[in-house]
Amino acid sequence: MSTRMKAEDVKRVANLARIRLTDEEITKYTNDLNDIVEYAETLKCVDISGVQPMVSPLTVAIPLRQDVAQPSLGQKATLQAASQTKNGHFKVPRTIGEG
Amino acid sequence: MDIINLSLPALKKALDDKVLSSLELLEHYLKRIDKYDPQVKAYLHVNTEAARAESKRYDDKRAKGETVPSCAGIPVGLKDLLVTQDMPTTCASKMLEGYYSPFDATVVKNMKALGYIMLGKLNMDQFAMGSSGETSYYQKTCNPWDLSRVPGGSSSGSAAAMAARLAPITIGSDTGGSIRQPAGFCGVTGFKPTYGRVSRYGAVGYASSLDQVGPIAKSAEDVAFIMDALAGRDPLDPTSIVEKPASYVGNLSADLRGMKLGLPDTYLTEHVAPKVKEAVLAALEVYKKLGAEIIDIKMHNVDFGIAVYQIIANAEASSNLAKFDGIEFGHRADTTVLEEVYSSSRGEGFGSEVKKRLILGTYMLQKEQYEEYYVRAMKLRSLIRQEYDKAFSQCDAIIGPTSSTAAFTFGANRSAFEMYLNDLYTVLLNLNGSCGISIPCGFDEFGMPIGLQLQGDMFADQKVLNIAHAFQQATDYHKALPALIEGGL
Amino acid sequence: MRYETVIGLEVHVQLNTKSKAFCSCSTEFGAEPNSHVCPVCMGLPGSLPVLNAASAEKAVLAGLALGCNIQKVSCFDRKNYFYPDLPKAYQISQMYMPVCLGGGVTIESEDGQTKTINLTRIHIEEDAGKLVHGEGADAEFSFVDLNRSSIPLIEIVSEPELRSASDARLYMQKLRTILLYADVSDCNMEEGSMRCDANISIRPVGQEKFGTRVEIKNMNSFRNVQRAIEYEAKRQEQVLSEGGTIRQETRLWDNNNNITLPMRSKEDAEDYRYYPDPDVLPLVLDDKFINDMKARLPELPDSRRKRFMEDYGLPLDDADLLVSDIKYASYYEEAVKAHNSPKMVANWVMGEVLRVVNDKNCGIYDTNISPASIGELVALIESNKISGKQAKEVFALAVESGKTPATIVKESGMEQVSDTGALEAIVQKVIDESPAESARYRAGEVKLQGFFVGQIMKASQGKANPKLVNDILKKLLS
Repeated sequence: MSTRMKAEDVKRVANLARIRLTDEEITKYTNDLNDIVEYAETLKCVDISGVQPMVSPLTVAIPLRQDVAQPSLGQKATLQAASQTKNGHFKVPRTIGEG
Repeated sequence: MDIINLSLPALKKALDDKVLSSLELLEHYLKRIDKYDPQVKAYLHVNTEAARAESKRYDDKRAKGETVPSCAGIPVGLKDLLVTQDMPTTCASKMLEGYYSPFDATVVKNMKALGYIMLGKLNMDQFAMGSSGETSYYQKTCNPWDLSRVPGGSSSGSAAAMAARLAPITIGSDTGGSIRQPAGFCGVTGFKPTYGRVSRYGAVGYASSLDQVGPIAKSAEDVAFIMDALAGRDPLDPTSIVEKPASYVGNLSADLRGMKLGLPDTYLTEHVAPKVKEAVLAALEVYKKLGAEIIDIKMHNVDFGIAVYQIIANAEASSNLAKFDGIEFGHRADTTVLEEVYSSSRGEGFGSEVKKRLILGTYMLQKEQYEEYYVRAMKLRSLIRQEYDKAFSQCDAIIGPTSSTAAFTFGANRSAFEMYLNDLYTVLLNLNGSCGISIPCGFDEFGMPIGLQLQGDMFADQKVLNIAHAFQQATDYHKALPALIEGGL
Repeated sequence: MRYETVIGLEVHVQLNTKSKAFCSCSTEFGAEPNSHVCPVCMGLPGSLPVLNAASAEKAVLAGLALGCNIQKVSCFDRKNYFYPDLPKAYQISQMYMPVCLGGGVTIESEDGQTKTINLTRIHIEEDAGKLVHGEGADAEFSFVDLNRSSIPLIEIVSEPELRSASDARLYMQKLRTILLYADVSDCNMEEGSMRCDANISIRPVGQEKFGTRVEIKNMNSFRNVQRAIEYEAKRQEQVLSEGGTIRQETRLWDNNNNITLPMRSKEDAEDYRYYPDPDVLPLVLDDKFINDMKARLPELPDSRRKRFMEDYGLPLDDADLLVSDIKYASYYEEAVKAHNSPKMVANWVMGEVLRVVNDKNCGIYDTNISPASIGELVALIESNKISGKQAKEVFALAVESGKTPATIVKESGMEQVSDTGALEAIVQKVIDESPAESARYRAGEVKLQGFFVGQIMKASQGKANPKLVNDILKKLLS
């Protein structure tokens, strides 16, 4: 059977999902998530050999759009919902590494 | 005039014949919202002034004899995950408090073009994650049949507003039962169209391969009526692939001769409340009288449906909701550290259920888990599709309960796992992608409505609507009103 | 111990479509920040991606030009990570089923050897936005411009078959030439429309097993690709020779100090949680689509070079230079079409025309002198209408004025007098006016020929054809 998720596992995954959790949340989620993961374990009993994965209910090909440029939102509308902007840009704390 | 019980076609006729003005119709619903919504708490935003101006505009045009769009003046309530330009869109989350979209969802645009009046935005489970309506950041919508009970979810506001007749029609969305289950709990008719039938453009995504926008209405006839506005190919949604059919309401038929309804051997088990089972069995009798044949079919994948659904829905959600990082829009935490812009904005902005599901989805997609969980779930989804294909080669629709119980009281279902079991009979259809409807078929011992679910094949939307319509032509369950609003306005 | 360098390159190429990969925003370079942005490429709630047909077409064109197997079904996946230049927090890419598999690039190594570097795959993906780092009061901040967000890219991944830094540079240059032929990108490394990441490891010569590889990013010119790889290979040798071990990591090329610097180690590497994008259905290409793309593809450099040598009798070096840019090659062929003198035309194109291209830093078609004019100019020389020296003047005037060589020659009266009758008259006149010199010449003082030619050129205002003058002079004085 599966290894149960521990608090630090939940913390690590929450970090990967970029979600800060309180200690209470971590405790609560650890229990809830283990219930679900345990249930998901039951799937391992089903024989799936030779079965193709189904990604979408549709079995058609992607419809393509013709390569024609259309007007964009414009700088003002693009930035209107952002909480921090400057000189036509979205503003964030400094990043390191590649530009 | 008995405005709240008029069908949409009758409403349209009354407006066309000028027996009723758009503004009168709107004011009637605004008054009802004033009176009942403080108890039901279905609306997050009522579009009073803009709706008045728009209704008046249509009335003026009609008075001058000018042509108006075919559905001019019919108000419609929207689940708050359909983005709108002139009303806020919050997904019932702190994350999007006060957010205005620079564009209208395609379904909103289409309805506006036909003259529908946007009445307001309806409460929901936060980001459509929940099946009781309780995860909204703003308010808990109550079940109009018993205010101490949940309306179901995630389209809680859409179903409750419909049940309390706080709109002539509402729009919801269904990822794992989010239209059908609350419709069942609230004694109204809720339809999940076939995946690809209605544009998802502008419906904030939960799980892209499962989500579908659809109506909650008084009847299958009204569903058919508004589906004529909702359905159709949208060049902005690459998965909305089908051209608009002629007319659902025009082709509505109650003739069930030769129809076969399949009852799965796994549907009426001990999980189902006795009253629910009773109501479903009674419905089977109604259908037999209407000339349909009931056949037994085998559906064994119910056993793992919830788990497959949990993996796929949450995995997709974990990346669909990654865009909520506080940079371009939405809640941004007060910090000067880049990593905290992400983690604190998301930690503060998302509600507990959302965070839990995103973490679960992230867990499932990790390199070490991907094959074991996600790929396996996608394969099992294929098996579910195969089982449905086989079933629909034997019958025209699958019949059964929408949920195992009627609406429960707030806080009754405690464990997360039990909450997810609410979706037991609805999630499989989303995994398959085909259409389904929940229609009222009785009441339990507490007087709460019971939902009957009819599931159809891919693009068999008309057929499912016809089968539901036939039932409603023969029964009155869908006409029953909650005591709360009986004899009121 | 002697080491061998093992290099694999991942090259990102921005496709030159008019609109972005998954929305209709313009891809134009250099616009105001955040002015080519819409709900889709900024990841607003409710938006959905719709694939641009041209992204698929250009990816297939690139694949065909590079000899890849075009996959009739390819799929799009999400690469999940959080960074301010990635508004959806996932990049749409093709991880599991890319549009092209296999293929290769043939290079002429510096030692003269011909090598084919095999490709692993080519896949379609979308670009990220651009980050600008603040200065002064804004030094604590970075600024996001999403104009580049979702511009279509292809990533071309080579097998680890390159063995030297110079081969890597030659591979990049050849790749660029081919992609320009296929017209899928402008391949401008400085503007970032062609970017290269290198995976580098070293191993003792003769050893089968690969060493630990290091990824180098941020090399924005062919020269830097070579320098960065040279540096990194030496650095790794140094580490091993000192008894150290190579860490699997990502390093940045520092262009100012000519070194590579550590960026992140493998332990910090993000788990990208690739999974099939449920919003983007599989790309399905039928035979017609692939055949249409084959028909759109021009003759490619290797085959064109062969043809230039065979049909025009050009030496390898000439053919090499002329096919190095599809525009050079077509310019040359248009000029030859105007006047069929392949070698002479080649000399003019490679000499004078490319000099202007370099001086003006412009395209070969922007030099103000057309291929037809080059043909005309060579024709004027070969029919003795003008001398080679005059031709250079005519060329300069043509570049300056945009006029055709024939017009210039006519307007400036530069045309050589090659009419024998007219020339005889001039020569006779000069002889008649110089009786003493004529007598001395006839008496055997042959060196006076120079005097006569000078006088004749003077009388003809420099237009007499010198070769004809000599012949006529000899005849009339004999």
